Amino acid sequence: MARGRDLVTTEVVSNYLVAVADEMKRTVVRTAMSPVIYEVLDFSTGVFDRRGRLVAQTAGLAIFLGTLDWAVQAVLKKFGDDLHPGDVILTNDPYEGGGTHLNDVSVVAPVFDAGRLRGFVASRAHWMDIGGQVPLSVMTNATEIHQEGLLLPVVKAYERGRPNRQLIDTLTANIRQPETWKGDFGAQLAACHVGRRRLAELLARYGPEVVEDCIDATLDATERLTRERLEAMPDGRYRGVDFLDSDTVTGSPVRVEVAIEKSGADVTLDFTGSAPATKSSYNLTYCGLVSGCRVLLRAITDPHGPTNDGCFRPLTVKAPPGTVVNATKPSPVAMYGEVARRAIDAAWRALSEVIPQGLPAGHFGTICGQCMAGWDDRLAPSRYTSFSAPNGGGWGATPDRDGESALVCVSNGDTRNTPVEIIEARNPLMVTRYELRTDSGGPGKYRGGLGTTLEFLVETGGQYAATFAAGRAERAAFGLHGGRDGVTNRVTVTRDGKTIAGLGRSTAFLLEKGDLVTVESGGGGGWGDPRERDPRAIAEDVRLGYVSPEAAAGDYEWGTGP
Amino acid sequence: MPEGDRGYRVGVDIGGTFTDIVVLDEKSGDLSLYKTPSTPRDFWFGVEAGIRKVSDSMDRVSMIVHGTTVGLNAFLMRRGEKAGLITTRGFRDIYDIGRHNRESMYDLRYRKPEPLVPREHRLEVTERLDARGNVVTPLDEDEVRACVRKFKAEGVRSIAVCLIHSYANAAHEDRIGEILAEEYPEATVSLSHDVAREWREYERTSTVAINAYIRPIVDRYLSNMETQLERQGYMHRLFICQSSGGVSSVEVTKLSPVSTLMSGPAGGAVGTAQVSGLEKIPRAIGFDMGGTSTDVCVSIDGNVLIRTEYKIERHPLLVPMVDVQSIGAGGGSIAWVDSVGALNVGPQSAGAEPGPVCYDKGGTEVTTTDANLVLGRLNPDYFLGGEMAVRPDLSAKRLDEKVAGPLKLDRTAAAAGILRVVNTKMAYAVRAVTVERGLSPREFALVAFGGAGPMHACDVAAELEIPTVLVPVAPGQFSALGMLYSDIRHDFAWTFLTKTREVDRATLDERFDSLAKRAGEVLEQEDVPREKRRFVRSADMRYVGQEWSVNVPFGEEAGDTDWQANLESRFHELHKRNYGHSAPEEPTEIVNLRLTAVGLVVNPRLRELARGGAGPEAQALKGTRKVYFPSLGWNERTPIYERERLLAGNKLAGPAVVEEPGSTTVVPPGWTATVSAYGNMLIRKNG
Repeated sequence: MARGRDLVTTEVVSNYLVAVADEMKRTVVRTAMSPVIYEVLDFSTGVFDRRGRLVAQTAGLAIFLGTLDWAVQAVLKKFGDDLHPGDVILTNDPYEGGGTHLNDVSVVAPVFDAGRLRGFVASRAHWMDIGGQVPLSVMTNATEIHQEGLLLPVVKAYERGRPNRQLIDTLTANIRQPETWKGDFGAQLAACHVGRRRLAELLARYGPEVVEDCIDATLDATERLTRERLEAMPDGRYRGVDFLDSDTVTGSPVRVEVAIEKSGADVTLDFTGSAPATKSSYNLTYCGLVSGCRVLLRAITDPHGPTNDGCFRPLTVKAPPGTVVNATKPSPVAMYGEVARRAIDAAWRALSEVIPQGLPAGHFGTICGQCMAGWDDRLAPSRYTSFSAPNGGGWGATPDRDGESALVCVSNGDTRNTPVEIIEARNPLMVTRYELRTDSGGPGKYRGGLGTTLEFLVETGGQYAATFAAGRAERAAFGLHGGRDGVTNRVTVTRDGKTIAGLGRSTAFLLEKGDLVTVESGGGGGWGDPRERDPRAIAEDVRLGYVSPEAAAGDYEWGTGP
Repeated sequence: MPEGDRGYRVGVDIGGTFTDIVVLDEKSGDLSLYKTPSTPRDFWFGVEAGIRKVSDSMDRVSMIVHGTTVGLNAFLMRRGEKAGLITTRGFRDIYDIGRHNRESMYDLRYRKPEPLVPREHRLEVTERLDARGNVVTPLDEDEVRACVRKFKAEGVRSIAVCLIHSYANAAHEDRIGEILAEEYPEATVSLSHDVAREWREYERTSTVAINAYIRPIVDRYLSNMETQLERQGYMHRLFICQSSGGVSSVEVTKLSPVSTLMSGPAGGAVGTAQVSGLEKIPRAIGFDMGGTSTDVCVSIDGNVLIRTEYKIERHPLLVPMVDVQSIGAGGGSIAWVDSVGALNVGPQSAGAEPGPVCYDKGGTEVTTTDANLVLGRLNPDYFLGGEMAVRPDLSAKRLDEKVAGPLKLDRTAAAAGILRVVNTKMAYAVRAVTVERGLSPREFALVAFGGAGPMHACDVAAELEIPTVLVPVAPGQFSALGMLYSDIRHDFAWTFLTKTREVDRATLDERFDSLAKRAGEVLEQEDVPREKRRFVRSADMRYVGQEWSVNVPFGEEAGDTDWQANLESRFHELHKRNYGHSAPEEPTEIVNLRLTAVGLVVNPRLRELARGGAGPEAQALKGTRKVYFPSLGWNERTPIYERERLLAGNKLAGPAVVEEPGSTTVVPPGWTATVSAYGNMLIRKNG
């Protein structure tokens, strides 16, 4: 132990570093221009040591947990000694630059003390648009990455404090709604600025050696805690399989397979056996895969503790290149999140047998989002409006209680819906109902949580289109231990009394005035045999309307027995 | 309304364990402080006894201000009334769905807050308005009557009504209110637009549901209190502390008890603004460190920052409150060593029962208070002015066992470590509170109160490079004192979404006037004379497309042709201050109109202290004690002063300790405390 570091200083420094990440987060929320950042919190911030190890992080989305350090390491790998005070680097490269999909751009700034590189601060945020074939750069049907937008291969936006005009002009020229983008990018720069200043203050106060010792001690302590929790779980090899809904090109389901080897305080997830990369936007690169695995690891070891590099040292992730979970250039990746959730689900299923208190049954497992945009012709002159938001759905039952209803999926966190009153004030839409979806929870001794039904009436005759991203439309949330599956996610449009079904993955589907758009999120899986459910709980569900009398009779043999 | 110079003003602040009573003689400025257990019988006895000590009859009491936690406790303990909700067809689950977020994002068993109204009592009626308030589907009144039958059958007697877009047009909610009054007069009815006329249906539902849930209980409590006071001869109106820092009459409070929920920290915040104004300190951070938590607020130019939305146990409330951030660290915070050998303090607290180890009430967990005691900062013979015996030996024993031993530190280092961890934790939280609002803590003074605030304030200030700490008179009863400075205040809001450049002034004035008319009626009811009434207009504004808005003062200048430009320029300026940037070329929009109606209460003045020399009188020095300071180590002969005996102008150079019955102030080496004319201590960093 170096002079100057002691237990108390370690705690003080580690709290300080968390406060730095937190202050960066507050800066982004305060200054961003896009709802997807300040409302949906589709961003994260972090502090890193000079080797690019994650020291402290905040995130609004769980899936952002494991990717920012990859971006920082990509910066180190590419620039090495060519980093200087005032540099700011951008990357969204899913293959080499620690990226996920092109909208998620990391902004990384090195931090110096007395002329020597001592650490990094970084933020990653979802840019509303990054160019490419459709507005918002969100699509399900690209056939190569180039259609999805601009790829930023770890490039400097600022060099020694001076903006790189060529890059910034190029971005401005290629991004739709560049003014909004400038606001959001400005928010990320402001966060880096604040983080850089605070980290420099800490280094000046304690000296870089003491700070580094404190960081080492903090990361080691977190690692020990994670390993302790892992050691408490039984050793063994566990297999899990899940499927993406059928591939839009070949029509067959896409397999995601994992073998988990838990031995002592280490765990390896091997995705060998997963399907080859698809020829659509449903692919995941290695960095996103690791991120998904990290989410699950946090959930089963220490969901409420601080997150840093130490948490992830016991984890190894393997996946053959060219598979859907380790796609290589130029596989498109816009819908990476859907694949990541299937990877998480496969591992979740594998571990559900062996985790001490048991993992919950499966959840609705998708963003279940709608992006609706176009012209509101009720106004003169007609106005362009857009609205995009995820939907909550049902979560799985646990060994001791029913699953929770209407919550965002595992990869998301503090992500909020848009109030009905705000949707209607800004869009040519009227919400006709927003309610819990009866009978969507998987039957079981403990019932799965319910999804929601959100229904819009389209009120514009102008050009208006919707892109939907609702996975698990074919395979529902899984039940466990005899509990049954939930109900799948479903998107339909009712036009002139006729129902158009299966729109869960449509890109820019044209809507007409009077269309009724119904977005139904799935329910969670049940836990245990439904015949073991307490009859009073069944009666209560029927009374409250969570389960219909017909379903109760069918699923639980309610009212039919002796 | 008190005239300001004839009688006594009484502040009564009920806390979890103790009730503080402050009696201020308006004429002499003399202050009397009492503490009494918070049990109902003792409480009445205490209020009466407190008043009797200074006056032989209640008729000399000109104003009683009461901060109550009855509503809050009913909510926290989930002991509210069986409540029902009437809402628009298709939307009864809004209250259950909420905003569908998972605050603990890695927790696969995350649960949302449980609605206060179960699904079976959330009933739908056919009706619909659009976002502009136009009627799309008329209200089906027969369905409302059906709801009444159902509520009657189920024994639901407190009913909340929240319809989609009712902020834009209240007609349907009002009509439902009328039908309920006719058909079910025994029930109490809370209409969402009365409680919070703002958009966002989940937040508004939550607000009105909490109101309905606690209303009958608060109503009974306040009625009972009025009766008791009347019996004792009190002839004036009873005022109740609101979360906003203002006070309201009992009658108004009974309609909207939800606005009293967070009144606890409000007294201290108002006191912070008042005392910093008195001492000519433009910017102050209130630092109220109690047993389980520390409340931080910000005051600029004598005004406490207010927020218009907050959450309580994750339940959102669209009600203005003083912008207080609560940190889970206080005197009772528990120090613990985790399984990997790191020292942590909090967020668990030993509370009042069993309390810190030294209370000898069965507590076995080492707390911040125990560490202070072991380090000589607290006087074991002077807890609550000597009324409570404490056991430093027990603190030392547990400290060795639970912290020093596992960390292989000596006792002093372990205790000092606990304080350092808790002080830096609080400092980071204070910084977060200020930087989040675009402010730098270095430009502020720290106003420290609460039992533990003055003991930790200088160390926290040092961490933040704050040069001045202010320890007010009566730091232990500061919330009760602050209440006496509260004006009568009522807040009204109206969501009205429009581009700033697309609305004409008359439309806005019309809306403000209608709010002012309502506000005037309320002040009239409270007998506030016209010359004491103030109406403050403001608008929540933002750049088009942004979500977070900034509250901008709305100019009164009628006929100002440039009002839009002036309003926008004030907005840009505030946006820059709050968020660090502005975009004057971007279009702006108005989201909410707000009107604050104030009934001015004449501020009482505290009696000035006699003037003394720079050196305190010999009798102020109680003795010396061995006290530990991180920069010095153990300081054998640290002077200990009795606060009551200090005179204006006295200077105390650190290291020193100042004791008074409700609190202890630690002046570290390198700091000097100066007693002001009003008895407040200003502690400044030397040099």
